[in-house]
Amino acid sequence: MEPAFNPRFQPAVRSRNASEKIKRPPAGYWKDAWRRLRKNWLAMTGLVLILLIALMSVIGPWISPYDYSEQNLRTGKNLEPSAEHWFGTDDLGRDVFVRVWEGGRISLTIGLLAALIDLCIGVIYGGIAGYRGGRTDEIMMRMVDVLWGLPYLLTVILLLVVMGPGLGTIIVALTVTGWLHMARLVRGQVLQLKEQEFVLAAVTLGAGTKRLLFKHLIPNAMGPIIIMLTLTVPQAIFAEAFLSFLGLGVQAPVASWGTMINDALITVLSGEWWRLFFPALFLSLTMLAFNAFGDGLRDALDPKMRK
Amino acid sequence: MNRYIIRRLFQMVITLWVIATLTFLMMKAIPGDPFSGEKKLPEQVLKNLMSYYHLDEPIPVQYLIYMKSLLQLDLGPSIKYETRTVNTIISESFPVSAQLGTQALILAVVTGLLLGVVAALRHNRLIDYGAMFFAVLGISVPSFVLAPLMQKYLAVEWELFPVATWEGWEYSILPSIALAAFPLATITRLMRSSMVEVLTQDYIRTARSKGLPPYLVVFRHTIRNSILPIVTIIGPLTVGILTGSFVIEKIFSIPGIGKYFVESISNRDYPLIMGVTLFYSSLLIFVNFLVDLAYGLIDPRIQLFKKGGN
Repeated sequence: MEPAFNPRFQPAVRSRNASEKIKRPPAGYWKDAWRRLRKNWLAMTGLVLILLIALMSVIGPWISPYDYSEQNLRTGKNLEPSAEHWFGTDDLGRDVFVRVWEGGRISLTIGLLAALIDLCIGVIYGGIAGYRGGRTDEIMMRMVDVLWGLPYLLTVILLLVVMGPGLGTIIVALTVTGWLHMARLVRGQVLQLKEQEFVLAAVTLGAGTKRLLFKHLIPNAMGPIIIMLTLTVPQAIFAEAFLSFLGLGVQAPVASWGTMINDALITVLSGEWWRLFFPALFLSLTMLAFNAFGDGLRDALDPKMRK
Repeated sequence: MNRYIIRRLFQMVITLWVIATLTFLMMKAIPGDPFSGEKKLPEQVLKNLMSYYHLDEPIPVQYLIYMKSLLQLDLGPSIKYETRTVNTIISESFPVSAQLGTQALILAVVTGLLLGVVAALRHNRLIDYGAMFFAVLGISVPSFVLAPLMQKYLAVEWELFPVATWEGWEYSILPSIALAAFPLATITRLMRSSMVEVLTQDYIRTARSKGLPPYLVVFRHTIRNSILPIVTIIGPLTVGILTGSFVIEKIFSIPGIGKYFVESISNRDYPLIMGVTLFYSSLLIFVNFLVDLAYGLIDPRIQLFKKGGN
């Protein structure tokens, strides 16, 4: 009897190498995180919004026929939003639309750079202090106390004297003390995490300090870190506005969202709402977007949240 | 434990001394002097003033003179406010800021924790989104925008509260709210994120499956394990809020200590700069010490003082 053999099928060649081969591209940690992030519509809306606002800050000043410092004192003061001036004009007759996007450039640069630098220094400093503990922790944290205790404005003025005014000085001034919160937060988290069983397991398996910190402790502290990061962005933007208010920040006619809001505060009483509304709107939208994105990112980076 | 506390107290004194020294050097390094702002003084008057405040001495001598009076807890006379000493300025203005700050802090901590916990328990539901929207508004509207808006609507147009100044409890409501907005939002967001994470842990499932009532799961297991980041943040936050806010005090014309942190520096009022800085730093250092002690109480696995040395 002939074996039941259908000529449409071929017996597969079995080879050990071939069956071990991984056909699909591996889904690593980051790919996995991205896949989870993509499904979170709130976070994706946030991301798109951030990109849109960043894009407009780059091209906004180009597509507008006006210049951000161009004044029109005779006929163009405090005009309502119209076809010519989409967001109206301010008390010096400057176009608010172009100033909002010019301000976006400055504010976003300050906010993002300050937050990024705070993140790097704060996480590493706090991580080391918390992980090493004991004497190292004490010395490192006393240094944090000292930096925190120094009068902030004195530091800023000193920096301005040494470095001269400019965007770089402002960012340095914001980061000199900005990372302290992050460092103490990460240290606190690491102090708690390092006593847990998974760290003991990792140590038993022979993990070194670097691996423990970057693969085990810091990823597990990611929640508070990301929240802190999304809080640092607005804080840096406001801190710049405060410095400008004291005459230590960006100098007029350069605009930032903070200074625009600051200058427009009198309109709460006088009624030119658009001068306060538009910079405040885009600042708030940016914050909303960062927070939505930050929350989604936190959930995506946390493998425990996998459904 | 006791040895740890004694060691920390000793460290605090050293830290404070370092801060005092650095601040002293920094304020001498920035250009300007206390008498350059006003109209030109006759040379002899200027000379007498300089010698009265020891400003004509070399800087190391000035430093030693200051340190000597500091050891006697005497912060010296203010240069700008000629009739008052730094000690009286602080003791008069701090209680105002402290009262305002305490109210704002209670508001922020209670509401913030409540919103954060509720949002985490209803993760990704309507209440969660509502609480987070509220929190983000609190973060993204700076206090210097919130305060005038509240003044305009709540005080001027609807006449619910007094507009400004400091004459009674009802005057403190609006500034307290304005002061509380940012910390409230911070606490809400941190608490939510931290709790969402703890809620996925196995011990929470164990607690639930052994039939513990939900409120006990929340109070005994979830909150205690997720409150550490809040405690870390609340320390410095408390000091920042108690020592007043330049912006809020200015908008509501409140005679608090906040303005001296800015004004002392723009006036180059050296004794006042040192005074408010040391006052602020002592509070900060002490609160950070309390936070470290609190870590051990919240999570007994954290032992800061047992593993001395490396």
